[in-house]
Amino acid sequence: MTAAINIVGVTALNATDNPGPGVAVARSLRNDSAFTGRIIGLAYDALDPGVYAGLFDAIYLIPYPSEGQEALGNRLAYIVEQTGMNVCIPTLDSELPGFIALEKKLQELKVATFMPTSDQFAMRSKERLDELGNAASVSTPDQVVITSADELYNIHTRIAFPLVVKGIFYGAEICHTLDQAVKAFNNVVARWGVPVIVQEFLDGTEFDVVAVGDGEGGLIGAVPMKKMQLTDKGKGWSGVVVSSEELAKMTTAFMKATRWRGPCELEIMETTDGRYLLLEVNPRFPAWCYLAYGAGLNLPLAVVHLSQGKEVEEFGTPEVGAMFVRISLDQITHINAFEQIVTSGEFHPEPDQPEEDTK
Amino acid sequence: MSANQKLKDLAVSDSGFVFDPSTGTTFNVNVPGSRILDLLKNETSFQDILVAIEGEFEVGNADLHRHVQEFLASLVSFGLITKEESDLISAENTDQVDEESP
Repeated sequence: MTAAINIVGVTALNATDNPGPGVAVARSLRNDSAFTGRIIGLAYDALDPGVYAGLFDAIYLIPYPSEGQEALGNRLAYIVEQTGMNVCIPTLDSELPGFIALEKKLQELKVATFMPTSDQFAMRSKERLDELGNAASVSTPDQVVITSADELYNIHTRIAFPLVVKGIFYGAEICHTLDQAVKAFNNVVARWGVPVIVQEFLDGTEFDVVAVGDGEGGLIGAVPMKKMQLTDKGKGWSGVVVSSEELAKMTTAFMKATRWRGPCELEIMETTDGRYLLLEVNPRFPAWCYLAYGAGLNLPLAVVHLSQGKEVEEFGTPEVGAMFVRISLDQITHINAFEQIVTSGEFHPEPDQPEEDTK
Repeated sequence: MSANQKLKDLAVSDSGFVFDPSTGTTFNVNVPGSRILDLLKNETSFQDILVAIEGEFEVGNADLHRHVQEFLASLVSFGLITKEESDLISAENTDQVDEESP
Protein backbone atom coordinates (compact mmCIF):
# COMPACT_ATOMS: atom_id res chain seq x y z
CA MET A 1 0.00 0.00 0.00
CA THR A 2 1.36 3.41 -0.93
CA ALA A 3 1.47 5.91 1.91
CA ALA A 4 -0.75 8.94 1.44
CA ILE A 5 1.18 11.98 0.32
CA ASN A 6 0.63 15.37 1.84
CA ILE A 7 -0.87 17.96 -0.46
CA VAL A 8 -0.95 20.99 1.78
CA GLY A 9 -2.79 24.22 1.06
CA VAL A 10 -1.27 27.30 2.69
CA THR A 11 -2.82 30.77 2.70
CA ALA A 12 -1.42 34.31 3.06
CA LEU A 13 1.29 34.65 0.43
CA ASN A 14 1.51 38.42 0.87
CA ALA A 15 5.18 38.50 1.80
CA THR A 16 5.39 42.28 1.93
CA ASP A 17 6.95 44.51 4.61
CA ASN A 18 3.93 43.46 6.71
CA PRO A 19 4.00 39.83 5.69
CA GLY A 20 1.46 37.09 5.99
CA PRO A 21 2.77 33.81 7.41
CA GLY A 22 2.19 31.68 4.28
CA VAL A 23 5.70 31.88 2.85
CA ALA A 24 7.25 31.04 6.24
CA VAL A 25 4.94 28.03 6.66
CA ALA A 26 5.68 26.81 3.13
CA ARG A 27 9.44 27.22 3.62
CA SER A 28 9.28 25.24 6.86
CA LEU A 29 7.66 22.36 5.01
CA ARG A 30 9.70 22.60 1.82
CA ASN A 31 13.07 22.71 3.57
CA ASP A 32 12.41 19.71 5.80
CA SER A 33 13.53 16.42 4.32
CA ALA A 34 10.77 14.72 6.32
CA PHE A 35 8.20 16.47 4.13
CA THR A 36 7.78 14.89 0.73
CA GLY A 37 4.42 16.21 -0.39
CA ARG A 38 3.18 19.07 -2.50
CA ILE A 39 2.36 22.58 -1.39
CA ILE A 40 -0.52 24.55 -2.85
CA GLY A 41 -0.46 28.31 -2.44
CA LEU A 42 -3.83 29.90 -1.71
CA ALA A 43 -3.41 33.57 -2.60
CA TYR A 44 -5.72 36.54 -2.43
CA ASP A 45 -3.96 38.63 -5.04
CA ALA A 46 -2.06 37.92 -8.24
CA LEU A 47 0.76 40.14 -7.02
CA ASP A 48 1.20 38.44 -3.65
CA PRO A 49 5.00 38.01 -3.67
CA GLY A 50 4.81 34.44 -2.38
CA VAL A 51 3.14 33.41 -5.64
CA TYR A 52 6.49 33.84 -7.39
CA ALA A 53 8.73 32.49 -4.61
CA GLY A 54 9.26 29.07 -6.19
CA LEU A 55 7.90 27.36 -3.08
CA PHE A 56 4.56 26.18 -4.40
CA ASP A 57 3.62 23.41 -6.79
CA ALA A 58 0.51 25.34 -7.79
CA ILE A 59 -1.15 28.57 -6.78
CA TYR A 60 -4.85 29.33 -6.73
CA LEU A 61 -6.56 32.59 -5.98
CA ILE A 62 -9.18 32.33 -3.27
CA PRO A 63 -11.93 34.86 -2.49
CA TYR A 64 -11.41 37.46 0.22
CA PRO A 65 -13.20 36.70 3.52
CA SER A 66 -15.65 39.52 2.76
CA GLU A 67 -17.09 37.41 -0.09
CA GLY A 68 -18.45 34.89 2.41
CA GLN A 69 -18.17 31.22 3.23
CA GLU A 70 -20.07 29.92 0.23
CA ALA A 71 -17.64 31.49 -2.22
CA LEU A 72 -14.68 30.18 -0.21
CA GLY A 73 -16.22 26.71 0.11
CA ASN A 74 -16.88 26.45 -3.62
CA ARG A 75 -13.38 27.61 -4.46
CA LEU A 76 -11.78 25.15 -2.04
CA ALA A 77 -13.87 22.33 -3.51
CA TYR A 78 -12.56 23.21 -6.97
CA ILE A 79 -8.97 23.30 -5.69
CA VAL A 80 -9.39 19.91 -4.02
CA GLU A 81 -10.75 18.49 -7.26
CA GLN A 82 -7.82 19.89 -9.22
CA THR A 83 -4.97 19.15 -6.83
CA GLY A 84 -6.06 16.49 -4.35
CA MET A 85 -5.29 18.96 -1.52
CA ASN A 86 -5.73 16.95 1.69
CA VAL A 87 -4.45 19.34 4.37
CA CYS A 88 -5.06 23.05 4.74
CA ILE A 89 -3.29 25.56 7.01
CA PRO A 90 -5.10 28.92 7.09
CA THR A 91 -2.82 31.59 8.53
CA LEU A 92 -4.74 34.87 8.77
CA ASP A 93 -6.91 36.09 11.63
CA SER A 94 -9.48 37.50 9.25
CA GLU A 95 -9.93 34.29 7.26
CA LEU A 96 -10.04 31.87 10.20
CA PRO A 97 -13.75 32.33 11.06
CA GLY A 98 -14.59 31.33 7.48
CA PHE A 99 -12.34 28.27 7.55
CA ILE A 100 -13.61 27.24 11.00
CA ALA A 101 -17.21 27.55 9.79
CA LEU A 102 -16.30 25.38 6.79
CA GLU A 103 -14.59 22.67 8.87
CA LYS A 104 -17.37 20.15 8.23
CA LYS A 105 -17.36 20.82 4.51
CA LEU A 106 -13.59 20.48 4.49
CA GLN A 107 -13.96 17.11 6.23
CA GLU A 108 -16.40 16.04 3.52
CA LEU A 109 -13.81 17.12 0.96
CA LYS A 110 -11.24 15.03 2.89
CA VAL A 111 -9.20 18.10 3.72
CA ALA A 112 -7.69 17.81 7.19
CA THR A 113 -7.15 20.87 9.35
CA PHE A 114 -5.87 21.54 12.86
CA MET A 115 -7.47 24.84 13.77
CA PRO A 116 -8.89 26.27 16.98
CA THR A 117 -12.59 25.71 17.55
CA SER A 118 -14.96 28.66 17.19
CA ASP A 119 -15.17 28.85 21.01
CA GLN A 120 -11.39 28.95 21.33
CA PHE A 121 -11.17 31.53 18.56
CA ALA A 122 -13.70 33.71 20.40
CA MET A 123 -12.04 33.17 23.79
CA ARG A 124 -8.74 34.69 22.63
CA SER A 125 -10.37 37.63 20.88
CA LYS A 126 -8.80 40.91 21.86
CA GLU A 127 -11.94 42.28 23.47
CA ARG A 128 -12.05 39.32 25.87
CA LEU A 129 -8.40 39.43 26.92
CA ASP A 130 -9.19 40.01 30.60
CA GLU A 131 -11.48 36.94 30.69
CA LEU A 132 -8.74 34.88 29.10
CA GLY A 133 -6.23 36.19 31.64
CA ASN A 134 -8.50 35.16 34.50
CA ALA A 135 -9.09 31.71 33.02
CA ALA A 136 -5.38 31.08 32.53
CA SER A 137 -4.28 32.89 35.70
CA VAL A 138 -2.00 35.20 33.75
CA SER A 139 -1.85 38.98 34.04
CA THR A 140 -3.21 41.17 31.25
CA PRO A 141 -3.17 44.95 30.76
CA ASP A 142 -6.19 47.05 31.65
CA GLN A 143 -8.37 47.67 28.61
CA VAL A 144 -11.71 49.08 27.52
CA VAL A 145 -13.67 48.00 24.45
CA ILE A 146 -15.38 50.86 22.64
CA THR A 147 -17.56 51.22 19.57
CA SER A 148 -17.72 55.00 19.24
CA ALA A 149 -15.14 57.79 19.17
CA ASP A 150 -17.31 59.67 21.69
CA GLU A 151 -16.23 57.20 24.33
CA LEU A 152 -12.67 58.46 23.98
CA TYR A 153 -13.53 61.85 25.47
CA ASN A 154 -13.62 60.47 29.00
CA ILE A 155 -11.40 57.46 28.42
CA HIS A 156 -8.71 59.02 30.63
CA THR A 157 -10.91 58.28 33.67
CA ARG A 158 -10.46 54.57 32.95
CA ILE A 159 -7.15 54.29 31.07
CA ALA A 160 -4.47 56.93 31.54
CA PHE A 161 -2.60 58.46 28.61
CA PRO A 162 -0.45 57.32 26.90
CA LEU A 163 -2.66 54.44 25.79
CA VAL A 164 -2.83 52.02 22.89
CA VAL A 165 -5.66 51.94 20.34
CA LYS A 166 -5.96 48.50 18.76
CA GLY A 167 -8.00 47.02 15.94
CA ILE A 168 -10.02 43.88 16.45
CA PHE A 169 -7.80 41.97 14.00
CA TYR A 170 -4.64 43.99 13.41
CA GLY A 171 -2.92 47.24 14.20
CA ALA A 172 -1.94 49.07 17.37
CA GLU A 173 -1.12 52.73 17.81
CA ILE A 174 0.36 54.42 20.86
CA CYS A 175 -1.53 57.65 21.57
CA HIS A 176 -0.38 60.42 23.90
CA THR A 177 -3.30 62.78 23.38
CA LEU A 178 -7.03 62.67 22.78
CA ASP A 179 -6.55 63.95 19.22
CA GLN A 180 -4.16 61.11 18.45
CA ALA A 181 -6.57 58.60 19.98
CA VAL A 182 -9.51 59.85 17.87
CA LYS A 183 -7.39 59.71 14.73
CA ALA A 184 -6.19 56.19 15.59
CA PHE A 185 -9.79 55.12 16.31
CA ASN A 186 -10.93 56.38 12.89
CA ASN A 187 -7.99 54.66 11.16
CA VAL A 188 -8.77 51.36 12.83
CA VAL A 189 -12.52 51.55 12.17
CA ALA A 190 -11.97 52.41 8.50
CA ARG A 191 -9.85 49.29 8.10
CA TRP A 192 -11.29 46.73 10.48
CA GLY A 193 -14.56 48.12 11.80
CA VAL A 194 -15.70 48.12 15.42
CA PRO A 195 -15.19 47.30 18.23
CA VAL A 196 -11.91 49.00 19.01
CA ILE A 197 -9.75 48.15 22.01
CA VAL A 198 -8.18 50.85 24.14
CA GLN A 199 -5.42 49.34 26.21
CA GLU A 200 -3.10 50.50 28.95
CA PHE A 201 0.36 51.38 27.58
CA LEU A 202 3.10 49.33 29.17
CA ASP A 203 6.75 50.23 29.13
CA GLY A 204 9.05 47.27 28.89
CA THR A 205 10.33 44.54 26.61
CA GLU A 206 8.00 42.63 24.32
CA PHE A 207 8.44 38.96 23.60
CA ASP A 208 6.55 36.78 21.15
CA VAL A 209 6.00 33.06 21.41
CA VAL A 210 4.97 30.82 18.53
CA ALA A 211 3.34 27.68 19.87
CA VAL A 212 1.19 24.74 18.88
CA GLY A 213 -1.39 23.22 21.21
CA ASP A 214 -2.59 19.64 20.96
CA GLY A 215 -6.26 20.51 21.49
CA GLU A 216 -6.38 18.69 24.81
CA GLY A 217 -4.60 21.21 26.98
CA GLY A 218 -1.08 20.11 26.12
CA LEU A 219 1.73 21.96 24.40
CA ILE A 220 3.37 20.41 21.34
CA GLY A 221 6.13 22.98 21.15
CA ALA A 222 6.92 26.65 21.69
CA VAL A 223 9.62 29.06 20.55
CA PRO A 224 9.99 32.40 22.38
CA MET A 225 11.53 35.27 20.44
CA LYS A 226 12.72 38.78 21.16
CA LYS A 227 12.44 41.20 18.25
CA MET A 228 15.79 42.90 17.56
CA GLN A 229 14.67 45.28 14.83
CA LEU A 230 11.28 46.72 13.91
CA THR A 231 9.80 48.20 10.75
CA ASP A 232 7.96 51.51 10.88
CA LYS A 233 4.79 49.43 11.29
CA GLY A 234 6.26 47.80 14.37
CA LYS A 235 6.74 44.45 12.66
CA GLY A 236 9.76 42.38 13.57
CA TRP A 237 12.49 42.51 10.92
CA SER A 238 14.94 40.47 12.93
CA GLY A 239 14.70 38.49 16.13
CA VAL A 240 16.43 35.97 18.33
CA VAL A 241 15.26 32.90 20.21
CA VAL A 242 15.43 33.43 23.96
CA SER A 243 14.98 31.23 26.98
CA SER A 244 12.59 32.26 29.70
CA GLU A 245 10.86 30.20 32.35
CA GLU A 246 8.20 32.87 32.73
CA LEU A 247 7.30 32.82 29.02
CA ALA A 248 7.20 29.02 29.08
CA LYS A 249 4.92 29.05 32.13
CA MET A 250 2.51 31.52 30.54
CA THR A 251 2.38 29.54 27.29
CA THR A 252 1.68 26.31 29.15
CA ALA A 253 -1.01 28.01 31.24
CA PHE A 254 -2.67 29.38 28.10
CA MET A 255 -2.72 25.93 26.47
CA LYS A 256 -4.15 24.32 29.58
CA ALA A 257 -6.85 26.94 30.08
CA THR A 258 -8.03 27.04 26.47
CA ARG A 259 -7.18 23.49 25.35
CA TRP A 260 -5.88 25.30 22.29
CA ARG A 261 -5.93 23.36 19.05
CA GLY A 262 -3.34 24.34 16.49
CA PRO A 263 -0.86 27.16 16.08
CA CYS A 264 -0.90 30.51 17.82
CA GLU A 265 1.31 33.44 18.75
CA LEU A 266 1.37 34.92 22.23
CA GLU A 267 2.51 38.51 22.66
CA ILE A 268 3.90 39.05 26.14
CA MET A 269 5.32 42.17 27.77
CA GLU A 270 7.91 42.14 30.53
CA THR A 271 7.47 45.51 32.18
CA THR A 272 10.35 47.54 33.51
CA ASP A 273 9.29 46.51 37.02
CA GLY A 274 9.57 42.82 36.13
CA ARG A 275 5.90 41.89 35.60
CA TYR A 276 4.86 39.66 32.68
CA LEU A 277 1.55 40.50 30.98
CA LEU A 278 -0.21 38.77 28.09
CA LEU A 279 -0.93 41.46 25.50
CA GLU A 280 -2.74 39.36 22.93
CA VAL A 281 -3.05 35.96 21.34
CA ASN A 282 -3.01 35.60 17.57
CA PRO A 283 -4.84 32.41 16.54
CA ARG A 284 -2.42 31.33 13.83
CA PHE A 285 1.24 31.08 12.91
CA PRO A 286 3.12 34.38 12.94
CA ALA A 287 5.03 35.54 9.86
CA TRP A 288 8.32 34.80 11.66
CA CYS A 289 7.49 31.12 12.27
CA TYR A 290 10.33 29.99 10.00
CA LEU A 291 12.53 30.83 12.98
CA ALA A 292 10.91 27.90 14.81
CA TYR A 293 12.14 25.62 12.03
CA GLY A 294 15.56 27.28 12.30
CA ALA A 295 15.60 26.63 16.04
CA GLY A 296 14.86 22.94 15.55
CA LEU A 297 11.08 22.89 16.01
CA ASN A 298 9.27 22.46 12.72
CA LEU A 299 5.90 23.51 14.08
CA PRO A 300 4.21 23.82 10.64
CA LEU A 301 5.14 20.21 9.85
CA ALA A 302 3.80 19.19 13.26
CA VAL A 303 0.50 20.85 12.34
CA VAL A 304 0.38 18.87 9.09
CA HIS A 305 0.83 15.66 11.07
CA LEU A 306 -1.66 16.67 13.76
CA SER A 307 -4.18 17.53 11.03
CA GLN A 308 -3.95 13.94 9.81
CA GLY A 309 -4.51 12.57 13.29
CA LYS A 310 -0.93 11.39 13.67
CA GLU A 311 0.63 11.29 17.09
CA VAL A 312 3.17 14.06 17.50
CA GLU A 313 5.58 13.99 20.40
CA GLU A 314 6.16 17.13 22.40
CA PHE A 315 9.20 19.03 21.15
CA GLY A 316 12.15 19.80 23.38
CA THR A 317 13.56 23.27 23.90
CA PRO A 318 14.49 25.38 20.87
CA GLU A 319 18.04 26.42 20.10
CA VAL A 320 18.53 29.62 22.09
CA GLY A 321 20.37 32.23 20.04
CA ALA A 322 18.92 31.10 16.69
CA MET A 323 18.17 34.33 14.81
CA PHE A 324 16.21 35.51 11.82
CA VAL A 325 16.99 38.56 9.72
CA ARG A 326 14.35 39.34 7.11
CA ILE A 327 15.27 40.48 3.61
CA SER A 328 13.66 42.44 0.80
CA LEU A 329 14.62 41.26 -2.65
CA ASP A 330 13.34 41.52 -6.16
CA GLN A 331 12.02 38.29 -7.61
CA ILE A 332 12.26 37.93 -11.34
CA THR A 333 9.28 36.31 -13.00
CA HIS A 334 7.65 36.75 -16.39
CA ILE A 335 4.52 38.51 -17.48
CA ASN A 336 3.22 35.11 -18.66
CA ALA A 337 3.13 33.91 -15.06
CA PHE A 338 1.22 37.00 -14.02
CA GLU A 339 -1.09 36.57 -17.00
CA GLN A 340 -1.88 32.98 -15.98
CA ILE A 341 -2.98 33.87 -12.52
CA VAL A 342 -4.83 37.03 -13.52
CA THR A 343 -6.78 35.40 -16.32
CA SER A 344 -7.42 31.94 -14.90
CA GLY A 345 -7.05 32.48 -11.15
CA GLU A 346 -4.40 29.79 -10.97
CA PHE A 347 -0.72 29.36 -11.74
CA HIS A 348 1.21 26.15 -12.27
CA PRO A 349 4.95 26.86 -12.10
CA GLU A 350 5.77 23.30 -13.09
CA PRO A 351 3.81 20.74 -15.10
CA ASP A 352 1.32 18.86 -12.94
CA GLN A 353 2.64 15.57 -11.66
CA PRO A 354 0.48 12.47 -12.13
CA GLU A 355 -1.89 12.11 -9.20
CA GLU A 356 -0.53 9.68 -6.61
CA ASP A 357 -2.51 7.49 -4.31
CA THR A 358 -3.89 9.79 -1.65
CA LYS A 359 -5.84 7.18 0.31
CA MET B 1 27.74 37.77 47.50
CA SER B 2 25.23 35.85 45.47
CA ALA B 3 25.65 36.40 41.76
CA ASN B 4 22.43 36.94 39.90
CA GLN B 5 21.22 33.88 37.98
CA LYS B 6 20.87 36.01 34.84
CA LEU B 7 24.54 36.83 35.14
CA LYS B 8 25.41 33.17 35.41
CA ASP B 9 23.35 32.34 32.31
CA LEU B 10 25.09 34.94 30.13
CA ALA B 11 26.84 33.60 27.05
CA VAL B 12 30.18 35.40 26.71
CA SER B 13 32.27 34.58 23.65
CA ASP B 14 36.05 34.82 23.41
CA SER B 15 35.65 38.02 21.38
CA GLY B 16 33.75 39.66 24.24
CA PHE B 17 30.34 39.45 22.59
CA VAL B 18 27.72 38.96 25.29
CA PHE B 19 24.26 37.43 24.73
CA ASP B 20 21.63 37.38 27.44
CA PRO B 21 19.51 34.32 26.56
CA SER B 22 16.61 35.45 28.72
CA THR B 23 16.07 38.81 27.01
CA GLY B 24 17.89 38.58 23.69
CA THR B 25 20.04 41.58 24.70
CA THR B 26 23.51 41.69 23.19
CA PHE B 27 26.50 43.91 23.88
CA ASN B 28 30.29 43.88 23.72
CA VAL B 29 32.79 44.00 26.54
CA ASN B 30 36.55 44.44 26.40
CA VAL B 31 39.00 41.92 27.83
CA PRO B 32 38.93 43.28 31.41
CA GLY B 33 35.11 43.47 31.21
CA SER B 34 34.95 39.88 30.10
CA ARG B 35 37.22 38.91 33.00
CA ILE B 36 35.06 40.81 35.49
CA LEU B 37 31.96 39.00 34.20
CA ASP B 38 33.77 35.72 34.63
CA LEU B 39 34.74 36.63 38.20
CA LEU B 40 31.20 37.79 39.04
CA LYS B 41 29.78 34.53 37.68
CA ASN B 42 32.07 32.72 40.11
CA GLU B 43 30.78 34.87 42.95
CA THR B 44 34.17 36.50 43.47
CA SER B 45 34.11 39.35 45.98
CA PHE B 46 34.56 42.93 44.84
CA GLN B 47 37.88 43.17 46.64
CA ASP B 48 39.17 40.04 44.94
CA ILE B 49 37.96 41.35 41.57
CA LEU B 50 39.99 44.52 42.12
CA VAL B 51 43.05 42.49 43.07
CA ALA B 52 42.68 40.16 40.09
CA ILE B 53 42.15 42.92 37.54
CA GLU B 54 44.96 45.03 38.98
CA GLY B 55 47.35 42.09 38.77
CA GLU B 56 46.29 40.87 35.34
CA PHE B 57 45.96 44.19 33.53
CA GLU B 58 48.46 46.45 35.29
CA VAL B 59 46.07 49.27 36.05
CA GLY B 60 46.36 51.74 38.89
CA ASN B 61 44.17 51.10 41.91
CA ALA B 62 42.77 54.65 41.97
CA ASP B 63 41.12 54.36 38.54
CA LEU B 64 40.35 50.69 38.84
CA HIS B 65 37.82 51.10 41.63
CA ARG B 66 35.87 53.68 39.62
CA HIS B 67 36.04 51.64 36.38
CA VAL B 68 34.74 48.51 38.03
CA GLN B 69 31.90 50.46 39.65
CA GLU B 70 31.01 51.95 36.26
CA PHE B 71 31.04 48.47 34.78
CA LEU B 72 28.66 47.30 37.50
CA ALA B 73 26.41 50.26 36.66
CA SER B 74 26.37 49.07 33.03
CA LEU B 75 25.28 45.63 34.18
CA VAL B 76 22.46 47.28 36.14
CA SER B 77 21.36 49.16 33.00
CA PHE B 78 21.19 45.85 31.10
CA GLY B 79 19.09 44.34 33.88
CA LEU B 80 21.73 41.74 34.68
CA ILE B 81 22.08 42.76 38.30
CA THR B 82 19.93 45.05 40.40
CA LYS B 83 21.04 48.40 41.77
CA GLU B 84 20.88 46.84 45.23
CA GLU B 85 23.18 44.01 44.15
CA SER B 86 25.58 46.50 42.59
CA ASP B 87 25.62 48.55 45.82
CA LEU B 88 26.08 45.39 47.86
CA ILE B 89 29.03 44.27 45.74
CA SER B 90 30.66 47.71 45.96
CA ALA B 91 30.01 47.92 49.71
CA GLU B 92 32.24 44.91 50.23
CA ASN B 93 35.13 47.08 49.17
CA THR B 94 34.06 49.95 51.38
CA ASP B 95 33.90 47.57 54.35
CA GLN B 96 37.36 46.34 53.47
CA VAL B 97 38.69 49.91 53.26
CA ASP B 98 37.00 50.79 56.57
CA GLU B 99 38.54 47.77 58.22
CA GLU B 100 41.95 48.73 56.95
CA SER B 101 41.63 52.40 58.00
CA PRO B 102 43.61 53.31 61.10
